[in-house]
Amino acid sequence: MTTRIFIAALAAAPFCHAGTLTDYYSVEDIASPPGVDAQVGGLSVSPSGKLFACFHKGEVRVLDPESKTWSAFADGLHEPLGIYAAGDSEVLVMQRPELTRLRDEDGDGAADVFQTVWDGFGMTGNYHEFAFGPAVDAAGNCWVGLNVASNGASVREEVRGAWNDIGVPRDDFYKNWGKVKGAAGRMYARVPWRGWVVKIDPRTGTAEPWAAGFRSPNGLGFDAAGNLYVTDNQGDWVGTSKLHAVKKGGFYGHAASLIWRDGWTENPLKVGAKELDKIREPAAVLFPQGAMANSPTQPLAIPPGVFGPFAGQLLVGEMNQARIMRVDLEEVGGTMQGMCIPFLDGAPLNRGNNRLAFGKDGSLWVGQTHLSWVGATGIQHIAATGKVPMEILHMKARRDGFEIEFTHPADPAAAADPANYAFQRYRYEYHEAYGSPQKDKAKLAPKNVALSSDGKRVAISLEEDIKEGFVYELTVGKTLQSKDGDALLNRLAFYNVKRAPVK
Amino acid sequence: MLRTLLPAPLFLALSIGAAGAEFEIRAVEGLQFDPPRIEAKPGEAITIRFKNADPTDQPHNMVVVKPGARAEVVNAALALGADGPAMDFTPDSPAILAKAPVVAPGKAAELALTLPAEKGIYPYVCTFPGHGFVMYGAIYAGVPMPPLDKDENISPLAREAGKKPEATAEKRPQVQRIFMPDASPAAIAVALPGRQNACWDAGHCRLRYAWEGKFIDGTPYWKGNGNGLAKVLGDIYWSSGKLGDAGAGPDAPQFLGYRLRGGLPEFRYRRGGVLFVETLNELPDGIAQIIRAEGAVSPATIPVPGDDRAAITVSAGALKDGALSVSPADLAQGVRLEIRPAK
Repeated sequence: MTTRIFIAALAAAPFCHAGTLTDYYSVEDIASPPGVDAQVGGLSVSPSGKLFACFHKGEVRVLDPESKTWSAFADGLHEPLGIYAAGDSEVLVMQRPELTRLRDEDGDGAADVFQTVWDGFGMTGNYHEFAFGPAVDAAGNCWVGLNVASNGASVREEVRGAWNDIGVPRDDFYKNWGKVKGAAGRMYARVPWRGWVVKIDPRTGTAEPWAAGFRSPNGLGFDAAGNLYVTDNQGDWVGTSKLHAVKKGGFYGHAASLIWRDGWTENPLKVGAKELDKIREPAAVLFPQGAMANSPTQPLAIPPGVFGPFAGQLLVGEMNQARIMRVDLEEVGGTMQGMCIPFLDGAPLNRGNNRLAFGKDGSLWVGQTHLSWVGATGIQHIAATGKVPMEILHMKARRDGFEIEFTHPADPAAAADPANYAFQRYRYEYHEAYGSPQKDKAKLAPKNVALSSDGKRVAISLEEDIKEGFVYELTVGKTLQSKDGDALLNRLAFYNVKRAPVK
Repeated sequence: MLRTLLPAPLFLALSIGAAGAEFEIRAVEGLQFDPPRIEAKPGEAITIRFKNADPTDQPHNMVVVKPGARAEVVNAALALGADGPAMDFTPDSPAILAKAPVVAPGKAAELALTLPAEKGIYPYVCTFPGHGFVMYGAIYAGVPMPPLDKDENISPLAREAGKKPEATAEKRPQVQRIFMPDASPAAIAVALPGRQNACWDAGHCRLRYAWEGKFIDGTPYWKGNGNGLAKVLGDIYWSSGKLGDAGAGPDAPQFLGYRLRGGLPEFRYRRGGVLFVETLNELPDGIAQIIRAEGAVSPATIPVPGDDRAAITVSAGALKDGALSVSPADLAQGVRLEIRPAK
């Protein structure tokens, strides 16, 4: 109640309507199913509109969005971290040891068949070997991501899958762990397909290891055109968290998984960053650590007709902050790259935004977890009120700067004021060390600002041409608002220049 | 008196000397401080040995702040952004009373301070980005401590841990996939309807051990990110022993999943091109394993390792040197192995 009064008072102010998340979106806390540790590993809306959720201790529960009642579909899975509801009686779940098809054959509303679809990957028993997915493409293929192990712990005596001795002999994992844990790599991939994204045909169980170089790919999804995107988390070999456009055979930076490439014989840690950089595919989007995200999760395309002008862009969850990000991509020089910006930011959204799913009515279900890191538990349900906020809709690279497009015509005087666009650029080092400081950082002043006749687009040229390999951070000044007096809802955006445009 | 409110292992006052009390506070798994709170006197000079004992390999720091200033300091630390690492993620704030730098896993630092003369609840918190929202505790100086499960000044997890566990009946039968001891990482724990339990290994497609009594405690695995094994809560009377790696090599069996019948799993797997179906059944004093296979063309060898703790009987075939040889006809019928604790 107090919040509403406060907003009303602001709205009455002559020129600026500050605006908060709840002016544009409703956020509802959904009661968790009884008796469940409500750490959400996966969410999926079935064709009939029911919400399937899987939880930390292995439960699968179904929410009827009409009656808001939960029913039990399955129990006893092993750390399920993704679910796909093909129908109300058949779902696919990625659990630690396998991709499983759960089917309710006797029609009592609960699964009685647990069919192993694919378990052809290794497990050392190391806690960090999470298994993510499945993201299901238009052809019905499942895409999963396999986390690498952490040298915060060693391996079990009995592992599953073939062991790879490159770098550190297996015996040392048991007998000399204290001494070799450094040499093992901060994150390691001793059994097959750790650090890989794998394509699986769920009809046959045939798996095709697709791309390597992932550290913690806790998020797979597709853009509106069906291209695969995968997030990864800051750490060793990952200067800051990122989003990759993933192509077959690509290497996306984390060295450990390379030992499972066909014909690979060297210790990638000895090959070193300089050489690996030559075969590495840089990210489409970088999420600056701290300022944007510490632990990005699932990318999910906004469907047509949902969230107004943002349809077709990607949402990406974030664990550490109460934030869901928005990613706007463009093709430059034959590669996808673009901007990230907060979309839903701060209370009443919780932290730990691990999984996202759109309902049939265009509302967004958000599942939260922590797994003992920073996060939260539970499910929130978000719907647009219909009013479109003043936002940066697009940020596109130009040879000498950027073109910004707003969702509404901007106040012309403020939008044409160069002082309202504070840029800085920096890059992240590609190296074995954990994370990277921002390097070669420089503040950049706009040289020229030109506003389009409809008042929605601003072309900003900077004092130097934009540089490949740099993130451009834009902070928009507080006086910039819409012509109608709505303040910009999110003012901090980041554009990753993988390729600099020639024009 | 108040100190007795705390479970003894959580509270570690090392000694109380002229320099005031000494405490050890450890950073532990799950973004937690252990103990989650300590008791001191207003105006007292105290020393805290801060040890990073987090097995999940994360760096932590420790900052003691003025009453009510925790959120403010945590947010100021986040706002340091790129300057954070050089400042140990500790902002320059008058609300900070004492600080320990970022400490790598396995390392420790010492933090000495004289508490203000005012009675109060002085928070300690890790301001490493993100951690501060959940990783905090409190120094109670001249203020009575509420019961642990009601204490809003400690982290939610520590508060939760202070609750008395509810005595709930075990759900039986049930199937739970989880990291189990003495099995491959793809283990399945099965609670039979009465008091029998089994660990069946989806990696090896074999029964690994059977026990009588309560089922499992999954807490060591579930409390964090999986860096722990479930505990077997009864007495194991038969075990396959060590088996080596699972799922490697061309002869490895292929796990196909299970079907629940009356809540119990009917496992399916392929070994040597033959489809096997296996169930586990409760006996009054043991467990019966029924293994069936259609379409075998030659006798099959089913490994059944002996165990001094158990007596094993088979319904068909010859059990010798830890292996059961069964004809295709018997396999099609189903072979019944009964495993009981030895008398």
